[in-house]
Amino acid sequence: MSWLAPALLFGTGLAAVPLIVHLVGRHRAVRVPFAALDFLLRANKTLARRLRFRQRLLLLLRTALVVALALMMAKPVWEVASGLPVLHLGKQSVVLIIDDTPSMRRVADQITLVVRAKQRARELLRTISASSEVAVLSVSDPSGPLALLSRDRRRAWAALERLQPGFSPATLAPALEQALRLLQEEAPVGGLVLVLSDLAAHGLPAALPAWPSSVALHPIDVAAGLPRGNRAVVELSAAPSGAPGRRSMRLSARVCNFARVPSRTPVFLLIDGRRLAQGELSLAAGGCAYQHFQHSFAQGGAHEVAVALAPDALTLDDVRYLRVEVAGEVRMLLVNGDPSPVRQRDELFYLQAALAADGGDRQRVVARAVRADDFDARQLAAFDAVALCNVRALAAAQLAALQRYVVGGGGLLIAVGDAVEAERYNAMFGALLPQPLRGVTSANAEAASELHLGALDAEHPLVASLAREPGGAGLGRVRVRRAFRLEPSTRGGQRAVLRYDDGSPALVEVQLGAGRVLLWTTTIDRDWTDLPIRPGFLPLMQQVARYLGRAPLAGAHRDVTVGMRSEVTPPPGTTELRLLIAPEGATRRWGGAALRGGRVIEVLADQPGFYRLSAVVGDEVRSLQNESFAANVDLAESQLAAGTLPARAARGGAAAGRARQQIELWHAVGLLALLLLLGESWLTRRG
Amino acid sequence: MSQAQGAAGPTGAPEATATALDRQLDAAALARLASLRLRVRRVVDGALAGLHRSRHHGASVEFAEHKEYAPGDDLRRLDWKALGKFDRYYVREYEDETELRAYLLLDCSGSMGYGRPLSKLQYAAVLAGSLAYLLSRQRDSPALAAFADDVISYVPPRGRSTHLAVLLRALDALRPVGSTDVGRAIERLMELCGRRAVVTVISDMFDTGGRGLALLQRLRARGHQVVLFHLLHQDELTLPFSQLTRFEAMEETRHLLVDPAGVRQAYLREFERFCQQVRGACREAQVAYRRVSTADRLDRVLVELLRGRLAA
Repeated sequence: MSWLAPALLFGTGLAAVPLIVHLVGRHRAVRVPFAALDFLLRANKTLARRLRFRQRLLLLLRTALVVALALMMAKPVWEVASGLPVLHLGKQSVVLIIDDTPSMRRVADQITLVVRAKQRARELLRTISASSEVAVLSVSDPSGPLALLSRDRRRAWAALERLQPGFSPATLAPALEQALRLLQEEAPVGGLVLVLSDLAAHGLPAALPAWPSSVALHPIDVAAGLPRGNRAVVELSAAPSGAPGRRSMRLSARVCNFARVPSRTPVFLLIDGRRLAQGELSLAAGGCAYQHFQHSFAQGGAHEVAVALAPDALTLDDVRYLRVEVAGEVRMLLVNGDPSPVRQRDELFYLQAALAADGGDRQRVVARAVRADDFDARQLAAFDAVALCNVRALAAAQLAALQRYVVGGGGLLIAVGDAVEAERYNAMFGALLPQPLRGVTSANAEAASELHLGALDAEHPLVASLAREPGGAGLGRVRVRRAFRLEPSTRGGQRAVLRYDDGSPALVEVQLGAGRVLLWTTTIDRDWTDLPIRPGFLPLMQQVARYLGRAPLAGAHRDVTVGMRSEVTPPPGTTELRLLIAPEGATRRWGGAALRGGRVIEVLADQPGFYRLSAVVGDEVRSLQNESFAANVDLAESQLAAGTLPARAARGGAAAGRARQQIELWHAVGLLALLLLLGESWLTRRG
Repeated sequence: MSQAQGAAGPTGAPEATATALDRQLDAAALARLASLRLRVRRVVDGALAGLHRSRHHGASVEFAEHKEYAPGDDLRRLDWKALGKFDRYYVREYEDETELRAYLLLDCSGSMGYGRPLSKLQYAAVLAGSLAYLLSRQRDSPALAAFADDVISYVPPRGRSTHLAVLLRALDALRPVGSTDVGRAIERLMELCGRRAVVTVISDMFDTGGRGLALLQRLRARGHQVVLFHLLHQDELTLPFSQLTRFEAMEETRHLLVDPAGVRQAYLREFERFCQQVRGACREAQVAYRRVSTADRLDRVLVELLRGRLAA
């Protein structure tokens, strides 16, 4: 302890004043010869102990009050090792690098390490001379707009104020390089780089960049003395459990213990925001273990699943999010334009078989077939998608109803065949076709060079999962003897999902209103192609049905890591795109120019959680289940083990040794004096 | 002591007169009077002014005893029948004419020296002097026994007209000294007075011997009429001090440094308990009791006594 005004400590000598007053008072007491002294003595005897105690307490309080006032005026300060470097008082250039990476979200003493680093930085700013230049850099964005050396302290204070811990991992190397660049460009004589970080090994560079001798480097470990243990949910997956019921899932979470001691932790399962199950895991030091949960979903469709641990110092990785697609149903109406009493020759024989197959954990497709003559447009509302298979023509009323159905959000597959004539079809279905039909490739002309299915649009959700399979699920071996060529379209918006090997489109998509139309330019049975007997037919048709029926598609849900951008295609007619991030509750909106022309919106996943997207189309708000996703943090920062960042002394010794921090105590002493005064007043008044 | 047979009631004096009398008879006014004789005269005058004179004053005709005739006796009271029976001259004597012996026991211990402008002892001396004056006027024989831890001054009972002057001189000469032992003084008195007498004790009863109250009872048992004037100073009754005070004993060397405000309640409780104890003992022994404060006007105390209003 030391004193800022030690001369005033002589004031403590005044502590004797109450005692002297007391003693003098005794001698100055009025002397009264009193006859009834016996009664006074008797009365005093009963009160003596209490009175004596009270008088001594009063004397003590008054003495302490005088001492406290003297001490307060002497301004006591408590000196502790601050962990901050000694800064020389002269002019210098200082770059403060504040670690704002996810591991700095760790909580110690009820504040995060980032807040602690900012506090230390403020203390340093107070000790740096006013003539010095200071820059504040963050590790996550070292070349940010404030990365300039300046004497304007307000700028540095504002930079510190705005600095918040991020979710994306980052290493220290770019920040160090930026600091050197700044010092070399703006302070050629050198300077000092102060790094305030938890100095976790994952963020430290393997080797320092080329370090000039004129620049000092001083790392300050803001996590010094704190335990480095951490637990994290590193993986979360869902799979059909095999238990009875199509919606029973096995949810598996892998939990790791990054501490050097074994640990036990409860594990919680949350589905759609509700905590439904709990387990407990024993984790060896540095080990991992799985926690499995079995759950039967009451409803099909997308569900939000989260697995959470009991919060530890770094809560960021204590929870992991997953969107799970649970099997539901896609209702599809198949309109048969070329029925046949022979099953194998029926236009729908292969398609029905493909759609009837079990889709595994994905949504089931329930198909209903009708002859073209029996097609009743009034039935459309009961179906998610319609397939016109080699249908020659439709009545005008039925055609109009079909157009309304598509524009209203329904899906339509048009497959051609012998019954289709290009001119009539273009005239009749022109409003629905992605591109006009030009004509059928001649069998004779093509005999020598059959078409094969070729390029897949791997970015398209319909075939993205097929594209990832080896050999494109065998689609490349599909032979096509006849197919319609297509005229260029002036409509725009069409997209070739699948092409023949000569580049002409095999499967073309167009968005019409809120609905989708797919044109398959060859037959859906074996009349013009052998696709129905190829392995890729079944998954392709299942995907087509789910895509048109707006069902979640296999592989469509994305595993997004925080920091990534995700593309969202709003449905046509969207006037506003809305995003709600659960469980934080943050919202974002896009509208107006951002959505004009059917632009793709980039959604930055800047925090972990469920990203729920919805679109406002007309008066309706549609949930975009296929576009919604879950974002999880990169686990690179879960391992908190300390690394080493060597300090560098500059010529001239900018940073040497540790400073001692002075904590002013006079406020506390003043408070004590006030309490003593109140106590003295109370006792005096009570007497 | 014979008691005046006066009718009770207000004197009917104008209030202004009463106020003037108040001023003349308060302690300060009495203290300004140089001699005890003057103080006694003023108090007695005040007392008599407060009494209605009785037409039957001294007219008791109750026969008391025979006395052998001596030259100078009233021949009208000669008992002729006794002369016929015994062939000797006897004179009849009546109760009111019997010489009354009144012993005034005055406490002059150190504790009686307390008080200004009139100490308790000076106040007691005026009271005793006034009683002696009244007794002398009735041709009774007042005696004085001043005591502290023993009888230190004694004036035997006499009916002579000059006796009052002797008594007043003795009272004037008293000074507070020593400790109080009422019991010892009463023991001595019982040795001195053989006949039934009126014993008037004037004391603060701060009795170190502790036997005083018991002996008062014994005195009463012997047939004496006993009156106790429990004389206390106003300060002792109220403890009016406010600042830190060193209280010193008046009969010994003890002292107490205390904040009076802090102990006032407890002191007053203790003191009241003491007064109740004295009063209770007097009631049991049928001793007439009067607590007298030095703030009380003496003439009124006398009037109460003469009217027989003292608590027994």
